[in-house]
Amino acid sequence: MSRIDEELKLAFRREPAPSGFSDRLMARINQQPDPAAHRAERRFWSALVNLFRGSSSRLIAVAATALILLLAGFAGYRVLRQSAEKRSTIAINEIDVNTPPRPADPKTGTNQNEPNRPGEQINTSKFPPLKVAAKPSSGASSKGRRSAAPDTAQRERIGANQAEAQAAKERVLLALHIATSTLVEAQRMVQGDERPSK
Amino acid sequence: MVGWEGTIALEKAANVGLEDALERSARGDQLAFAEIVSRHQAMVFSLACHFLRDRSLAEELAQEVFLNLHQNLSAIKSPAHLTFWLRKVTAHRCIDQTRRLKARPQVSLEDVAEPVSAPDEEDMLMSEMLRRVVETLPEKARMVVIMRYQEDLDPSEIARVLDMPVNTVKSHLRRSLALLREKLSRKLGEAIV
Amino acid sequence: MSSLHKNLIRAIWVCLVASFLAVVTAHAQEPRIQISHLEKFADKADKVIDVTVDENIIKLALSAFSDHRSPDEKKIKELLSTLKGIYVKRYEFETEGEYTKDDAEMIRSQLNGPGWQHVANVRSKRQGSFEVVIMSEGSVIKGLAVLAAEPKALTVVNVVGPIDLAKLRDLEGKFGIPHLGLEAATGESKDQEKSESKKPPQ
Repeated sequence: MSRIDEELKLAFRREPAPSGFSDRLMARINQQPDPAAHRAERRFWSALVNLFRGSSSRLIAVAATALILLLAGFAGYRVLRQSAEKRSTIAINEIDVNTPPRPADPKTGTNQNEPNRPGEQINTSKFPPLKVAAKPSSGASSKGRRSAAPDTAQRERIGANQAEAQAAKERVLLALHIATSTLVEAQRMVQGDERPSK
Repeated sequence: MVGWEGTIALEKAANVGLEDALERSARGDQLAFAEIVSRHQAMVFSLACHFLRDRSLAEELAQEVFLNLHQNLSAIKSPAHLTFWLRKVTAHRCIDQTRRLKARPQVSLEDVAEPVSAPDEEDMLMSEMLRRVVETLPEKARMVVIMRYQEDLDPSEIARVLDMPVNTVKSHLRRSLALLREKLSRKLGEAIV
Repeated sequence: MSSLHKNLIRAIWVCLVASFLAVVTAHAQEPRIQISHLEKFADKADKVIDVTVDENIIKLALSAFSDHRSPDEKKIKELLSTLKGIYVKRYEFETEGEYTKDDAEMIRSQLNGPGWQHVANVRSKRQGSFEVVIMSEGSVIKGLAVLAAEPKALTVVNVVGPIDLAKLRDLEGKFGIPHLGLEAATGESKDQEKSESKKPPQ
């Protein structure tokens, strides 16, 4: 690197932001109302209030619609519960998520094999419980327990489950690696086994 | 740390943390957004400060960039995309800001104080001289130089951020460096390579 | 106010204070340490590693491991199934003096609290200080923490268990786990270790 390159790097090195920068920014963000949400909310409430104004027949019609919707929702919930219970007893093939991830792209730092949102906070309760059965042996005939072919929606759900589980697995292993490496380094320091620093 | 292993794994861990913060902040988590801000504020502020040469203006601009980010979090796909987005928005806002302000007068190198004997002060003055000369460059050329030396971007990356052809970036760099060398050589009385 | 009434109120206060103390003591014996105050270094640090893996993520990850694929995978699944969390914060700075002794003391004071035992403690002017502490209940290690306060870096690791060190040693060199030397932590003698290693693999 030439002298002027070095001098320019020195002259234009990053400087820390003024102290309190992020506090002032967050204060500005908190003060700002969300104009789009506020407008939408006002429209919603005024429309709702208008529903209950007017003649009694209108009120009866609104009440009847609400009742029908409630009953339909309840019936739908019952159907969903029953099908979820059925699904939970269907044996599926063993999840194969042990494919080693490809190395990270050095340019972007992203892993090509990672699912879309690997660091996502996962709410495990939203997925139906799945029972994992052993893979049937290669000579299995129709006599053995046959796994029912899952439908497309279930396949997609299983796929999403697998991706999230794989992402969580990678994260946990990474955390374990970092924690145990730190332990090893501390142990080496204790034992006086110093390695040259990078 | 002495003998630290798995540097790539650690950078991946940092990326995973940032991806998680992006995800959470898109869902309205203010703490996650604050984390994103703290990780990138130096970059955004420095770009603005080096370009505008005014700390208070730079802070104001940097805050606006992050406010804009807050409203567009759902469009950010990844940590790499976030960095790209921040650089791009900051650069464009800086250039727009300069065009709105009055043109800064050309600074003559003769106005810069003579370097003194202590080497640290000499280095500081050299840096200050360079910054003042760069300040006099046209906006796009100035931003190209700052992107190159602050962010260590190569011409193709600068071209993507500033939305200009690669050859134009290279040409800006070449001419700016030639100008810098010439001005500094005249001042210091020695050839600057 | 009658004396009975007064005694009743007194008794209620005593119960409240006692339960408060019990809660505080119980909480103080938790192997989870508070490290969130270190986040202020995120903007100063040159390099930040911040990894938080809580119980939910571990539970989800467990579904990606199989008991049948290999004995090692079964072991790591068993090891992880008892963990409650792994928390790592590491800040590397360009220059020395970016964090104060008080910042490290806030961590150290937790590690000197009830239930924690120091396994290793080394201080060096050049390298800084390294402390490894565990919280154990009988032979079970409920938690582990490492505090590394170096001139240009501050690292805290907290693993909330129970941690099966024997399984961890068995998994050396696999799944990214490096070779460990945890005889001091477990208190096992070298003879015990050798006899362990002679046992046939499971």
